[in-house]
Amino acid sequence: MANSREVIIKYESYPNTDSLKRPTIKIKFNPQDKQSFSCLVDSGADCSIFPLSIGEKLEIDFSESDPLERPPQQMSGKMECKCYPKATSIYGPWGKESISLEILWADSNEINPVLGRRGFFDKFREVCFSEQRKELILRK
Amino acid sequence: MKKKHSGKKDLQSHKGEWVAMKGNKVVARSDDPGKVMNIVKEKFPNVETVILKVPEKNQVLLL
Repeated sequence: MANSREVIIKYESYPNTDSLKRPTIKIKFNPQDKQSFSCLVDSGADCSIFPLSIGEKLEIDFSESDPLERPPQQMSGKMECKCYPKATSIYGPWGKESISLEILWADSNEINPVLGRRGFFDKFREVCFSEQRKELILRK
Repeated sequence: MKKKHSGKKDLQSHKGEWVAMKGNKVVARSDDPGKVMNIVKEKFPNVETVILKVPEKNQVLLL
């Protein structure tokens, strides 16, 4: 049974595709926004990543951000695009409070938005994946 | 030739693209998520929408 310090989020699949159900979270960058972004919650990712073009539309100031000299390595090799680290507040189903998260803003539209462990998972006491129930559980 | 968004509950034809969804309906699509945000802000400023990238393959391994 869920309590106030626990949020259960059902896995989602894409409508009318034969894609698998996945642990995703819809986040906003401003609680008043009408647009939210669907992100994969990835326990295998060390960091969180978003396309830079979204950050630019959100008018995040990257003028003083230099791209990482060593972009994160993917298991299959080095990322071929520039990544700009920038802390950003995100809002989601975990409650009214924001999470300040360092996101790597990647100069590629091929990037799938991902919430990784550092800065996100560590904001919760437990992050559980129930494959049987197709649920993601965030416990504070 | 550019594809039009389907407006249906069907993402099969949008694989690899960024889409905005209002409920289960695709209301904007592009290869550029920034363009999707622009379309949604212009056409649906007061409507809750979700922006997502539709995977090209049915199974995803983030490598």
